[in-house]
Amino acid sequence: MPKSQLYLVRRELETFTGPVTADELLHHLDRMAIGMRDEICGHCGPWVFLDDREKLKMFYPELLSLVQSAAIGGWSADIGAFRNEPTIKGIAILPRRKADRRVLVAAAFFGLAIIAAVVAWLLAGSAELSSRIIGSPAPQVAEFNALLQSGKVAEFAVAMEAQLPRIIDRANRNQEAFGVWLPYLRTYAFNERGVGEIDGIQSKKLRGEAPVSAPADCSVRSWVKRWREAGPSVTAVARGESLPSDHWGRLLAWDPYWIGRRSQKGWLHPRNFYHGCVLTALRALESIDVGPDAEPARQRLVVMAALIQDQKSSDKSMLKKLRESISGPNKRTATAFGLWTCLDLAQTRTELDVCLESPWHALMESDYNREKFYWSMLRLAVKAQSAGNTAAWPLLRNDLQAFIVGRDYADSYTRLDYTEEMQFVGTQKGILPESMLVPSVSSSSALSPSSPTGATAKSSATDIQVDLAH
Amino acid sequence: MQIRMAGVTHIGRRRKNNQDSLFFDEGHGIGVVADGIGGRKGGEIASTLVVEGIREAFLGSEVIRHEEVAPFLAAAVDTVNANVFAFGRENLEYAGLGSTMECIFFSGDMVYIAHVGDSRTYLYENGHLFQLTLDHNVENFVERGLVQRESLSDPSVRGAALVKAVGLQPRCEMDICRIKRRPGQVYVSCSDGLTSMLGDKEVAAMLGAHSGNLQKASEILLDAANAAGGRDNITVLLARVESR
Repeated sequence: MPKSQLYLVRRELETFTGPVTADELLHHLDRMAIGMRDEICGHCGPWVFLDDREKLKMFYPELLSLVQSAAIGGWSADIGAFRNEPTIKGIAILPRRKADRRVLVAAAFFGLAIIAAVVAWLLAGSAELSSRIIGSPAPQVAEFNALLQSGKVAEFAVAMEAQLPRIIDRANRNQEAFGVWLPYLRTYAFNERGVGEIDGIQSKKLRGEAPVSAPADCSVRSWVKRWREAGPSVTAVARGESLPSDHWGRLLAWDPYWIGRRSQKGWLHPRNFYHGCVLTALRALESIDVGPDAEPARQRLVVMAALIQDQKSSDKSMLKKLRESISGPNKRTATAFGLWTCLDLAQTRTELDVCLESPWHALMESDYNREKFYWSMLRLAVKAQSAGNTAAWPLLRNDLQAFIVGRDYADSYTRLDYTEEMQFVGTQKGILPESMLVPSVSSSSALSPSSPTGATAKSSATDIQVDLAH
Repeated sequence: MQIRMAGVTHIGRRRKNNQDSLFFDEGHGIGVVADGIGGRKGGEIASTLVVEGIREAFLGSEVIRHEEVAPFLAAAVDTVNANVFAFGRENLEYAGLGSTMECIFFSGDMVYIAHVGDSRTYLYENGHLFQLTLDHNVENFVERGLVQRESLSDPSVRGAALVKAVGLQPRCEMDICRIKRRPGQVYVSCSDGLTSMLGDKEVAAMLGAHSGNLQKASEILLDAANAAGGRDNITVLLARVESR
């Protein structure tokens, strides 16, 4: 038998804390490092949700009073799980917390009494209002869909926020309901005021099949941590001195067109998890003070978000404004981020060549920046082929062919996989070597997920559909 | 920190063949346990495909940074799932084959576990045994509200029936969890041939007595499961985190 009882805490079947003693558990609860929706397990025991009073009592009765007192003390939002307690006199208060607990318990009682009095008054005085409180209509998908369809994204966020507990409850009832609500929960989590996560929804379900090239966790919370840890490295990257392996560095180099071409089932806005990551990374960067050195990175993210969004919009004015505001000769920033934006904004081979000039010519000595130049060229090739613009081909043909022969179809730094694009332009017979041509591929819908060179198709999720027509 | 591993797989006392598969590599800090389902031959093939597929993915990869482990595991399992699923489609005599999977991977100061099915991974630390994985069976899924019992096509389906397995569907959902590794921890991955025969407290007691010698501990667990009836194939993989 173990000498002193230890417990392991599990969050969303993904991460563990511990093993910890009961005291350490209380400490974690106080610091809110552990929540009431986390699960706990003792030696050879079952997993029990901390807010499941009955099971806690059955399997870990020694923790009941401790968790209950912590719930009242620090987790007011979760008190509901224990609100049917017959009396709180039986709560065993730990000695060192005695004074605090008494005050908190009294405050909790006082607060509940006031709420009860207000509700009673409303019920007695206004039948109309009470019906709104008690019998408010169940959340309807159509209502939220209509808001999004009409572009009322801010109103959507407010409406979701108001109904969130009920929506989460509905979504968690079964897989079918979850599938129905998931696109709206994702929109709420990643759009507007979203923080990239929702309490009560497993983060991996919110994320979906994790695209290999994206971070597993794209919450604003994680990005804040990443940006803070990045510190001066951001400036070094901007100067073209290094390419860090960190997610923030690779995200800044992401190709917005690559992201925009990939739609993912179950997403509305953002278009997919990559897009969501860009939005939360931007939101995180704007929420903290990391000094003026971070401004080029922020600008880069603004451009990326706009470009991803703009590709599917009939209104191209955003792209036009961006081009005017950023790419004018006097407005070019001599940073790697500025160069990448220049490459992203180029719409013709001539515009692409501008990126080789001042102030970026020195940066183009980097192998990676040259590679990124060619990925941009590939983008123009896809665009030319989609539009049936064969006149553009001679300009792109030789350089592109020299670049792709014998190499993987994935970006060496971001790992975004361009296999689909390569196959698409490969259908233009004579442009690519015969060995690279994919037999009987005639349209994007018939593209094979396998790579003709044996390169790993790392875009992973088979439900990512590449839309090369845009 | 260094990882020591040992493991055994055995046909048990009732079955005519061993549909479990096992692979581990101390140097790479990787171990896989798979328990095949779907007929006598099919289960064997499925668990072999799973173990070999994961082995190839890991041994054929470059250094995996810690933030890439979960996506890498997901991609590796996706590939393996596609292979097993395709095998079932192309060979009708093996239709319905599939496999459970426990994949444990030590990377940096973390331990990653990819889990599908009802094989299990436990943590044994300071004399305590904790089951880290959730059995993907009907009983657990109904209890957690992930499946409505009424929505099951066959109302007579047993609670222990599997909800997820590698190779049964074109897509395979898996759990990937991570836990901080510490010296002295012992991780136990096993097929249900062990856990259906021995209770957690029995396993904990045997580990407590023999965790200093992993090979011996794994053999003792195996022998105990066989002594208790050995109704299924038995596979045990033990991995201990050492301070140096």
